[in-house]
Amino acid sequence: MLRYVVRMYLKEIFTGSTYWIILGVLLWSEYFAASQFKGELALVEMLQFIAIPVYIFLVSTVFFTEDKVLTFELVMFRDWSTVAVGRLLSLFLSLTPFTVATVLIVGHYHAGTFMVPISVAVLLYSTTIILSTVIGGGSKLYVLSMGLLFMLPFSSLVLIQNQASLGNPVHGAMGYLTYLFAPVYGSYAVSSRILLVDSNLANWIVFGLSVFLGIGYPFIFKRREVHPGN
Amino acid sequence: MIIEIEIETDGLGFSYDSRTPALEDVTFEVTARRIGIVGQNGSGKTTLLSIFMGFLKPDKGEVMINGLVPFKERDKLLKMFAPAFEKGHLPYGMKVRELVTLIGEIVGDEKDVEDLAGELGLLSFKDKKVYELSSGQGQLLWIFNALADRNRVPVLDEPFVHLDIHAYKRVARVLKERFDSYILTSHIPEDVELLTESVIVLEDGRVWWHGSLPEVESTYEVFVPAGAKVGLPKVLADFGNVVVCECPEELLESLMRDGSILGYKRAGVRLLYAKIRS
Repeated sequence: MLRYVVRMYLKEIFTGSTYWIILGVLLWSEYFAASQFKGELALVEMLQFIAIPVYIFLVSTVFFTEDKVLTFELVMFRDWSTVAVGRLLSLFLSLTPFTVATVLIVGHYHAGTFMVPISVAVLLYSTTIILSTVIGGGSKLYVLSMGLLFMLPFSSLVLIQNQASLGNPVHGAMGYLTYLFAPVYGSYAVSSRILLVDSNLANWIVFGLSVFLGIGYPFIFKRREVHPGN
Repeated sequence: MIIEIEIETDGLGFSYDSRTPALEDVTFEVTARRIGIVGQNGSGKTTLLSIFMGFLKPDKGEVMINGLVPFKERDKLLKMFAPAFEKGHLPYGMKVRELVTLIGEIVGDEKDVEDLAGELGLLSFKDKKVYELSSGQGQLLWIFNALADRNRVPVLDEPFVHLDIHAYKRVARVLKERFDSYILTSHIPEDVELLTESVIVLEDGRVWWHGSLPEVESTYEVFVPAGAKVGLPKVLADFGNVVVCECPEELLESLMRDGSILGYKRAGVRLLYAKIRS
């Protein structure tokens, strides 16, 4: 049954022309930022604040279904766990084209410095967004995902830069938290010495949290209430 | 598939906001093949079905369907029952025929599922994308999803609301011919009277009545032309174009012959509604 679930979701994600147009624009922008600008900041900001959140938002909207529509899928696939795992798997598979292309572009121009932060950032944002879908679909989910994907990373940037301008590099638990909100920018901040954390450990924390959220999602999904009347 | 549907509830209560009860002290036992749940708008039909199908967890009380506790055994329940709720817009970009094929593959009998799609009238718009469907076409797709597997018991919430008369006939025929067991909710009395044998009447979140519809002698639902004033004796309730009254059949026959009334039938759910109002 899982293959039918994955097939349906992937078809929904990949068949629309919008997907390919936006993917093309994002990858072109990454290439432009990597090849035309001196240093890494343009690429980092492009990735952290535009390309990664926009792409994850793009592929996740398929899962922003209202409860009533979710009942349609549950009835069709007749199994709560299969639908949950199928959603998670489909989301991960849909990340592949973007992540692979991005890692190749970044690897080519910057010798792989940001490959790990990009990978864990994509993983963390995608698991966070899929987990947030258990609150139900509709506008509240759009607002929440906008906050998670766009506002949190940006708040991280503001915090790090403000503190750096005062001569107080962010460090300790707060440092890891800001890294968690924006791993790609965090990695750049670490290399610029305005964020004082161990980037390896920070990447492991982001990865570990992503795995935790990813494993937790099917369990929470299976136990959530669904309101078909909504 | 012939199965007896056994529903047992005891003191069932549910509220969406923990202040206003959507269901209150719902207690009944029903064993039947074709069960109808009828009630006015907001009476709690969809909420009750949602609890039966394990989508919502009751705040109070107990419920069991064919030996299963719905919220705890929701996977088992979905393998036995196939619910379809009142039309919600389906956002899928795939075409109707692709969805029909997918459901056919899942069910494991593509030919039968394709036949069902034809019987329901889905194939006339098979090349439309799902998100482009009209409300009636979308409703048909929901019903199709619930009826696709003959081995599951359909549970249909207000299935006829958005359907035209032709689609209504097709769905009613398919339901009767393909399934011996189902659960159906409606706020339209005729739907449950025609298609079910055991009826649960909900009113303000409570079970007001349940059982087989009583056949009360000399109590009729009389269909009157719009705006007409017909002198009927012992009117129990007036629903506009339908009047429930206690009167001799001979009188109704004569009124029908002279064109004063459009028709009449033995009182059913509307009689229960009339009693609720009184």
